[in-house]
Amino acid sequence: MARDAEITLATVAPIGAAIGVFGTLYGAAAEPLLGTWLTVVSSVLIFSGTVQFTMAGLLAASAGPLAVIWAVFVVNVRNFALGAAVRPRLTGSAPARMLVSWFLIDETVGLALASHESADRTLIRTGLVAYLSWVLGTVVGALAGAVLGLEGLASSLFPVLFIGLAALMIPHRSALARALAGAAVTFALLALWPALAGLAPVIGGVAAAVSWGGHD
Amino acid sequence: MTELALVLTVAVITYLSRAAAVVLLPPARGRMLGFVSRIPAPLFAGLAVFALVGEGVAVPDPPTIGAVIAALAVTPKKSLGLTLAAGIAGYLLIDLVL
Repeated sequence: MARDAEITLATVAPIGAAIGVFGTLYGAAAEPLLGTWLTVVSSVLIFSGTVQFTMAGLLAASAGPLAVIWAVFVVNVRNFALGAAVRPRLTGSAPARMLVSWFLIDETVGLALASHESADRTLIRTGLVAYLSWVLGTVVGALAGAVLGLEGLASSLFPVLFIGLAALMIPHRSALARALAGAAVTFALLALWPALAGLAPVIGGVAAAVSWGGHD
Repeated sequence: MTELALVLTVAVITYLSRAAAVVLLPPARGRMLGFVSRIPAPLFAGLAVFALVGEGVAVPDPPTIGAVIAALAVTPKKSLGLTLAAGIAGYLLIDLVL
């Protein structure tokens, strides 16, 4: 048990650090739009970097509430795919799964699917680290103001993070082919229909899973 | 709509989207299980592309390209920590050189 905890902590520590940096950048970006306390409240209640950066970006562009809500809905569609992927490995009751679903983010699902231990436990452990990192990072960013010099590095970590998670999900060549197909379809969709935005990876992922069978 | 109401609405939408798949929907079995198990790798690969080029398929800056190349180089090791460390190193190296 202690060894499990050590392994999980060692695995999730880099993710927590990266999420903390993203949280700091979000706090700095959202504070002028929402004010300090509402910026922190948004991280406490939403806990989604993609959703919150989307919201802040649209508010900064003077978008109305309906545009923000629609964009958030579209961005969140991928949670259905993530949830469907991890659902067969969750063993808890419905109330327990309601609790666990709070920690359903890209990074925690990736680790839960890659880990050999209980998916419920992995989601909670890694989710708690990610949640605390996100909120604390937001507090630092909201209070410290603009964090100069970190924006470039932090934004470059988003694709790196997803590459690492994709690699964990590739046990054999057919999975690698599916990943490459998903990336190619996403790129093509973004090039042809930029308005799809966050929906493009979902369509690309599902299309690759449907059309590229192989063994699993 | 006040900003607080907007944040609360976004929070509710986000949580419901998470809970729906793991609470309301039955667990996948058989062929459906095979299908959903095939989703994560291409989904994360697609998210990497989206995070890299964005909606307009813009060319990333050189340090970001360096970070991605370095990350891709270590993916056979299947270590998330190593991938992130390589990405940071790649970013800093290109940023330093340029």
